[in-house]
Order: sequence, then C-alpha cells, then structure tokens
Amino acid sequence: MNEMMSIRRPGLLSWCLLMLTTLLTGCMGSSQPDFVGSKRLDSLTPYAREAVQAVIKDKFGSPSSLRCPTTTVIATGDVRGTVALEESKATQETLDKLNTTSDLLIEDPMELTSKSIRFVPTLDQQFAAIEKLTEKENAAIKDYLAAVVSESRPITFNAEKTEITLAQPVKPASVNESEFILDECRALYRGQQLYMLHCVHCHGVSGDGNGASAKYMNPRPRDYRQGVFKFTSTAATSKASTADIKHIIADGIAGTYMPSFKLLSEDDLTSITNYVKFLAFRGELENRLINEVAFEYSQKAYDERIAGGEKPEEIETLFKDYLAQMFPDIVSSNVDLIAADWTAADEADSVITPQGPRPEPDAKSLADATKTSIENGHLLFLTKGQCAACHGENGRGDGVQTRAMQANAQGDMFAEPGLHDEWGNLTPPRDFRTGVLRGGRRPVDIYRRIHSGIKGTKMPPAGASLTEEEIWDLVNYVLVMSNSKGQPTPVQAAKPTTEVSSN
Amino acid sequence: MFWPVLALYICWVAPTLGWGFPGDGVSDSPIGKRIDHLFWLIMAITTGVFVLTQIAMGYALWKASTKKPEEPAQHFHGSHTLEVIWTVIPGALLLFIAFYQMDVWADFRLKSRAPATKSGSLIAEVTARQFEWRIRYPVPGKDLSPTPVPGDMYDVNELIIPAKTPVMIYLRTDDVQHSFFLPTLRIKQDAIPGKVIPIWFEAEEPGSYPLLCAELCGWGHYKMGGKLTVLSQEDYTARMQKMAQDFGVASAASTPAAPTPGVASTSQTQEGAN
Repeated sequence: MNEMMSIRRPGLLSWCLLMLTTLLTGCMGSSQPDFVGSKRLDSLTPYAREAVQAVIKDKFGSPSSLRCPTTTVIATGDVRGTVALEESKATQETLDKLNTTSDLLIEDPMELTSKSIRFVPTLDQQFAAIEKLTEKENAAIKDYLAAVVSESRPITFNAEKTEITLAQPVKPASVNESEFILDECRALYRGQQLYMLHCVHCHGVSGDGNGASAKYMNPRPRDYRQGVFKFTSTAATSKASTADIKHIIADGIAGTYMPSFKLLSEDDLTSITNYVKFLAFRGELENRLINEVAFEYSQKAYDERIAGGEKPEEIETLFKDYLAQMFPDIVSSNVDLIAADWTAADEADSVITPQGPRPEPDAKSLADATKTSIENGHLLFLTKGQCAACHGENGRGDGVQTRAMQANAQGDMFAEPGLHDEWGNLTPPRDFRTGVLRGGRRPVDIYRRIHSGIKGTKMPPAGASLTEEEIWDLVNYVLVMSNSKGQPTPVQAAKPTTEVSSN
Repeated sequence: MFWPVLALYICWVAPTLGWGFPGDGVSDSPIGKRIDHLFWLIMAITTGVFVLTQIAMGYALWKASTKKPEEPAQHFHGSHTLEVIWTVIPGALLLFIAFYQMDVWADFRLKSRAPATKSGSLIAEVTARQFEWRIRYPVPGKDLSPTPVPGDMYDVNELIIPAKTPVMIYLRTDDVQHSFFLPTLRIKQDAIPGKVIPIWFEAEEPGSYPLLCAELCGWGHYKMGGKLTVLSQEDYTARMQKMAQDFGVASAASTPAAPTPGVASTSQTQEGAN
C-alpha cells in the first residue's frame, strides 16, 4: 500500500527535482525559429543546394537577423539619420575660459560653433506609428553621438530631442554629417513580431503554410513561397497588389480559417502585409534559383552527366566556375525580375476595372438585348463561359472536371480525381448554393475573378474570351445563385424574371 | 484573519481597479443604465440581508457560548412568530425584486415591447462563425430581407449603427453556439444554431464599442472580437451610401430601376468591405 502511494504521488524531493529539471531545461529545449528551405532543394546536388541556401541566407538573413535584398518592393523601415550641429557662437569670454581650462586648444573663435549635437532621424513615412524612437535606438544614438564627439566628452543626452549637450564646444570639422543607418529593418521586425503573434501558427515561420495548426485545416493555409496569392484585383498575369494582400488580412476569407484582422491598426496591417511580401519574395527567389541550378546540377542531371562519362571532379570544378562567374548575375537579375513584378502589380493600370455599369439582374442584358441579364448569364454559364464544366450545371461545384483525373505541372497524375491547385491541394470548384463566396461578395470582386481567374488554381481567366457585358451577366447569375440556397434559380424554374426583383 | 482581510480589501479596491463594470462603469445604452440600476438595487438588498443575517448568527453564537456549562440543555418546539418573520420578509423582498425588474426584462426581451419595430430599424443580420462576425446589411432605405438577396451588402467584424436610435439586428450562427456581447451596452444574447434571434438596443453616443463573443466557441474564442461603430445619423447615412456604392447596388433613395452607377469608383478602392 505504501509503495502504491509513493507511485501515485511523487515525494517532495522528486517533485523538487522535476521542477528543477523543467526550469533548467524547459527553455533550452526550444530552438530558435528559422526559415525552412523549400523541399525542392533536396533534388539538387549537395554543393548546389548549399550554394542556393547560402545566397538565400545572405539576401534574407534569418528570423533573428533579417536582411532585405530590395527596398523598392518591401519597406525595410531602416531608421536613418544625420548629425546636425546647433548653431551657437561662443563668446570670447567663454573661449578664453575654455582655453585655460581645457586640454583642447581652440585658436579661432569662429571655428567653435556648437555645444550641442542633434541626431535628425529620417523615418519611413509609410509607418507612422513607429516614428517614435525606441529605447534601444536612443541608446544607439547616444553611443553614436558620443563616438562622433569623443574628443570633447559628452555629458548629457536628451532623448526627447535626440540631442547631446557637450561639456565643451566642438569643431564642426570633427563631426561627420553624412547619413548613417541607426536601426536596420525596423519595419520588417515590427511586421515579424505581429506575424509571429497572429499568423505563424497557421502560415509557419517561413510562410510555407505549414504552421503548427495547419494540418488540422481544410483548406490549407496559403503557402506564400510561390509568390502567388489567390484573390486579387489585378490582371491574370500580374501578382497580387499590396492592397489585395492587406484587404485579405483585414477582411479574412469567408468560408475558410482565415480570420479577419480588422481590429488591428492600419499601421499594423501595413507592417504584416510588408512582412508577408518579404516571405513571399524570399520563397520565390529560392524557387527561381533552384530552377536555374537544377537544369545542370540537380541530382538527376548530375547522375546523367556521370553516366555520360563526366568525372565528378570536373562537374564540381564547372560548378565552382559557374558559381563564381555567372551565379551572382543570375541572382541579382532574378531579384530584379521579382521586384519588377511586384512593382507592376501595384500600378493603377494593373487593376481590373470594368468600364461600364452592371445591369440589375432582371434588367435587359447589355450583351444580348433579347434576354434579361440573368438569363443571358445562365446561358453563358452553360455554354460560352464553360463554367459548368467545373461548377456543374446547377452551380453546385460538381462539374465533370471534378470527377476527372488531373495531372500536376510536372505531368504526374494526382492520386485522387478532381481539380488541384498549384500547391497540390484538392480544390473543389465553388458551390454557389452554399452562399459563401471566398474572394469577396462585391459584384466587382466577382467580376474580377471571372475576368482574371483565381491565381494558382484551375479557375481560368475569361477576360479574353468574354466581353465586359457578358461578364456582368455572369456576375448577376452568380449573385442570384449564391443568394438562393438550394432552391432552383428563377431561370431554371422558367418563371417570369420579376421574381428576383424582390430585393 | 488573513483571508477575510484580503477579501475585504479586494472588495474595497475592485471598483478602482476596473474590476467592476466594463468600460468607465456607466452604460452606453438606456436599457443598460436600467440594468445597472437593477444590479445596484439587488446589490444593496443582498448586502443588507447579508449583514443582518451575519449579525443575527453572531449574536446566536455569542449567546450560546456564554451559557454556563453546568446549565442543562433545553428542548423547545420552535418559535412560530420567528418562522413567520423569516419567511415573510425574504418572500416580500423576492416578490419586490420580481415585480420591480419585470419592466426592464420585458423591454429587453419581449419583441412586442421593442421600440425598434418600425420599418428601417432592422438594420443588419449578424452571423457568428468560428471566429468572426459576418454582417449583412440591406440596401440603404430598404428593410432587411430574412434571407440573403442580391444587392445585400456584406462586412465583417464591424457593425455600424446610427446613434440615439433604437435599432434591431437578427442574430444567427453558422456553426456552434456563440454569444453576441456588447459589454458597455450591457447587451448579451446567445446565438443558437438554427435560430434567428432578434436583438434591439440603442447606443447613446457615437463612438466605437467592443463586440465580443461571450460563449466559449472553440480555440479561437479569445480572438472573436469585433467592434460596434456608432455614427451620428448623417455619418451613418453617408457611410451606408458609400458602402452601397462600393457594392454597386442602387439605394432605394436613388431611382431603383436605373442601372447601378459607381462601378468605376468601386474598383479604385480595395479596402472596402468584401
């Protein structure tokens, strides 16, 4: 009996030991989060893999020391500043006094200008809320100013005004007034902080959509590393605009696990969006570099070359030459290409903007005056628009394509029938009768999805094959379907079209 | 001695630490002020009863303990008078509370008593879902349709209402049980799967008020927050018109038959409601 008791309840000593062990090892066990490389890296030869990893590490750093290869697309939010001297002339009296007491001999009174030096920060205007300097930064300013004027021993530092007052005046020539960087990637770190708080448990540290809770989710969280985002306002070939990403973060995606972060401040949303773009950039560059290198130095290519009679040392020498001579240019051109894509997406003309108005669902179609808008939309849905192939004749998301076997980009068949997205997940076409429209419910949102498709999925852009008036008719038909849960639409019931005008 | 002193101390400082009523302690809605009044009244009654019964108990203990040990115990059959007193007084108090609060309860819960039953005061349908509030508005100037219709406007986590006007919303849930909670307005109503529940309330001042989920609904319950934005009547109308424009729907104020203008302006803005 005694033995049983001691098994059930640990004694004081073992309890203390347990607590002690937990205290000592509990925190050490957790590792620092790090960016995870793409699985595709494994297809490369070891040295090619290392080369790509080294470049990515060099360009983007690690979560604890971020770096950014471009400032055109991603705001790093570096805090820069210059040192300025306050204009104040010393009197002859103080000058004489100084020369007698100081070990620093000042001959010309005009040379003596100032007793206070100010740090003038220039902050990224995009992030209003971080305009205030942190304690750490103030300490850095103090150190910097102290170093600038070491010869005259600074005495007081005013953090409010980022101003240092000197015990003795200083010669202007001894102050370096050029700009210096006080705090690097401040906006990125702010974004990272928020990302780690709100996003990481689904989207993962590297933005690979593989966070701790991701495996319980259907649909899976977005993997940003392709640089592809589904719900955008831009043309089919464009990337998502910054506003698109921010909009999704603020409003969430109905029908998925992506919640709305509307209560966050505008500044926080900007910071998170910025960091998401950073992760997307990192992943996309990695992918592109793997593609570049894989052509000749993937494990498969390597094996073929060995079989073709090349010696391993030869290949390695060739790779070293390639790495030294060509690779840096390849990297920088890829950075430029990705940056150009992001920049282009933010330009006003990449946003899809319908020119004409949308007719009311039961009004005459602007595309075919003999029908009402939804009648024509219904017809287009079944025929020219080819929507029914995936979405089904009744818009239930059960078209024939959902039962066909599909191949991925490499030409391999997926294990299960149905449409798959670029990330290899099964993505059923929208069932309009559920009343949930993920990419937004505004008519213009639906217009854009029909016009440019949904990026990364099998939803194709129809902007080239359908006219604007036809797309509006389809939008109206989709709107009517998604508002009539399960009931046949007025068109199918062959009822007078006035029935839908009850709104 | 330590625990009673600590308890008293905590009771004393709790209001100053903000452990009392939400917000600044004063309700932002008329019905909330009446609920607060009931709270304080019942608080006063129960405090009085508590103190008096404790004194009576203390007296009985003291009286019994001062008896000499050699005195024999006596048997008696109770006091009819005392029993009548301690039945009638609490009974009267309970009846008083029951009748006194009935009016507030009726105004809070009986739809026939709701001031917000006239046309136009039904302003939105709030659908709770893990873990957010999805909101459906009718076209400005029209009544909310019980089921979604083309032309409805949608938003998430932000409920916009006019100030100083009794408004009604329909509360639904898409999945599990949630609870629509406006702490500073003292409005709380569970959202029950399969039911559409009307709630009416009135906010006195324009401003932003917290909207919380008050029913443990899953892992993300803690972050199921939104806000109630109360606007002055003019701002409210303007905001709803802007949303209507964003959604490309004609408001009832403009000519309903005309094709919707404003599509071009819609497309410029991204940060609209989705």
